[in-house]
Amino acid sequence: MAETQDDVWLGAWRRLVADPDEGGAFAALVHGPLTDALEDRYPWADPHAVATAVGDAVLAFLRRPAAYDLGRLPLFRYLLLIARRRLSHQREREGRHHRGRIPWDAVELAAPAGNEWEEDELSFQSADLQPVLASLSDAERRVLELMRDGERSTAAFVAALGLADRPVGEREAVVKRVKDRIKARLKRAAGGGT
Amino acid sequence: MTEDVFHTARRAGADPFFLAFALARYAEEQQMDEPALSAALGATPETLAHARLCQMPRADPAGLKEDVDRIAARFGLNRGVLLLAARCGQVAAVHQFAVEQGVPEDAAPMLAARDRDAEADQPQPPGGGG
Repeated sequence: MAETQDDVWLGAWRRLVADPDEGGAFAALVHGPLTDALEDRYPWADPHAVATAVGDAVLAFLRRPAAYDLGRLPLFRYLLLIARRRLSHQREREGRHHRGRIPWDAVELAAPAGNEWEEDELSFQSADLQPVLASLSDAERRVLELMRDGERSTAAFVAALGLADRPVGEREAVVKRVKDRIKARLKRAAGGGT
Repeated sequence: MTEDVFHTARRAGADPFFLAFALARYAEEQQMDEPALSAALGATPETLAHARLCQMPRADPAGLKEDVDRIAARFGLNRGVLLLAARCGQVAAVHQFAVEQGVPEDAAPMLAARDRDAEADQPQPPGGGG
């Protein structure tokens, strides 16, 4: 039976834990797929920022490969999560830099604090939420990821939902409707009422 | 190996955890650009990136020699240059740590003494055989 990407990556991770000289091989294996995945999820992001975020994630991982717990998340998702957070932090830094010079959309969901991604990820592993998460469409899943990243730009959600060709007013209405629907479904599943 | 990986390996030069830090400090000290560093090490772009992403060799003399020998053999690098670079990086790492922690400057002579102790195993200069 052919090895899956997860099998190959786990093999590389095990070699990395056992051998401190395997960093280059590990980086060469994961850099491209992580970059592709991050670009797929954030097609509007600056490619240089994506590459930097992936590089940051890889270097952070190489420092403490043994800290990865394969029982919690598949390695690809774990690394992608770190890279997403790095990209999000870059955007926050840029946002602070540009504050006052570009208009921000209304904030509906607070951005998680810098080191809370693990808690955020764990809360989303709650069994109560799994049926809802599994029922999300691909577009809804992208919207949820943006919400969890604290994305504030409507343009990002418009791109995620493929609404670029719709009239501006309609785009904003659809984005709001999708976000509200996702939040309501998650809230109900978590026992928070409607 | 893609340009992105080369770039990430270069960026590791800011972090004393990686051998890249030692290679960057050595290149600065020797006023080498990347091609000159590669030539001194006998490295290709790929093997240089691999070397950069290795962990910094251990600080104790025996561990340092063992780690440098292993890395040099694995990636076909000039052992003497790698040993000089590793020592240069270790000194720079200690100084960086001292600055960050506010340790007094008189910690430096201890480092110099350690370097003198290590001179019994003087490596070949750049351009020498591996």
